[in-house]
Amino acid sequence: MKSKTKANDVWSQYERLLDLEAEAIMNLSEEELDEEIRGSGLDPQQFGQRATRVFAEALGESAHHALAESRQTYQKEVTSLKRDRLSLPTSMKDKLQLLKACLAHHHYLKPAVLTGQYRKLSDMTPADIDSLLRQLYVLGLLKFKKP
Amino acid sequence: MVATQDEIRRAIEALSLEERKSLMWLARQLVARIGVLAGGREDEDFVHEAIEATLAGSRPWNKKYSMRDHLRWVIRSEVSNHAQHHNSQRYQEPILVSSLNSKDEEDIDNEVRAKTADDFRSALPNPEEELELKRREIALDKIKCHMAALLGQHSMGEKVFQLQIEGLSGPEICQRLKITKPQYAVYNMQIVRATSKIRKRNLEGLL
Repeated sequence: MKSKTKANDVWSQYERLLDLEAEAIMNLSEEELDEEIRGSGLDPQQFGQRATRVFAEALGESAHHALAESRQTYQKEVTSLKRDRLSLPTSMKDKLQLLKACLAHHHYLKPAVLTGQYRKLSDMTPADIDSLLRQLYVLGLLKFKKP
Repeated sequence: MVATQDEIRRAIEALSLEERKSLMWLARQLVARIGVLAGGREDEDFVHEAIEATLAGSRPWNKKYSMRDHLRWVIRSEVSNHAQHHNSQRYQEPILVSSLNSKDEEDIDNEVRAKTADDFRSALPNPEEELELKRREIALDKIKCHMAALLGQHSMGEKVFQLQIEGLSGPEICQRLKITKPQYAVYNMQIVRATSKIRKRNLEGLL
């Protein structure tokens, strides 16, 4: 029991010592740090390049994770949109007419749909029009009295 | 005071080359100190892990502190956690033949069996753990001697150092030694300087 307590003391005291060492390392000046790195047989410049690479990789990987996550969310949303049964007009002309009628009814949607990318509805690709109509359907915005 | 992911990213990107270098150097030195408990992991693994954990929010960054200080604490903590985990995982008691047989016996005659010593994990440390313990014990003794020489035998600085490594916090040390906070800060600075001196001299490869 006594030796167990002693062992715990040694482990925790050594941990405190590492805290002190960490503090000492972080207090090193630029020159002192380079001197230490050089003293261990490494080139400070190369060590700096390695540090830069490690940081860049960690930041890059995290960005990849974020992108993959947002892709996954997007795919989920697309799948849920496709799951809703919707009978859209078959011809592009009819689809555009439906969209125009919808936008005429819900004026406030115009700035959200007609952006810098699509100044006119006719600029939109068939896939984008389908997607937009589906989204409007899910939001319940396709239910209106046609003029 | 907890930052958004965007703020964290920008703060990490804003770290200077010197700051990145010192964080990598810190990880490198700590990995060397935990010896075999690093289990083959390198400095860059811990730096990588610290950045990822901060960005993912599992190690939240309090904007009250600089990103450099935050990453320093995370690296320090990751290294320590890894050493502890590795220490508890690396040694498994061999399965004894007697304990394998006892299971068969139980199945055959379905008797209630009294537990034997084989059923309990040994309370004694494993040989590797003991070796590591010894290494740390020797290192601690030597560092304490060098600290006493640098700070002055029985000086207030040495007393503060002793209490620090015993795990007392700053306010607790002030109370115990009846010193003020500014006085404590001075002694703490002396201790950090002494640690740097010992590191610089690389006394017997201790620190």
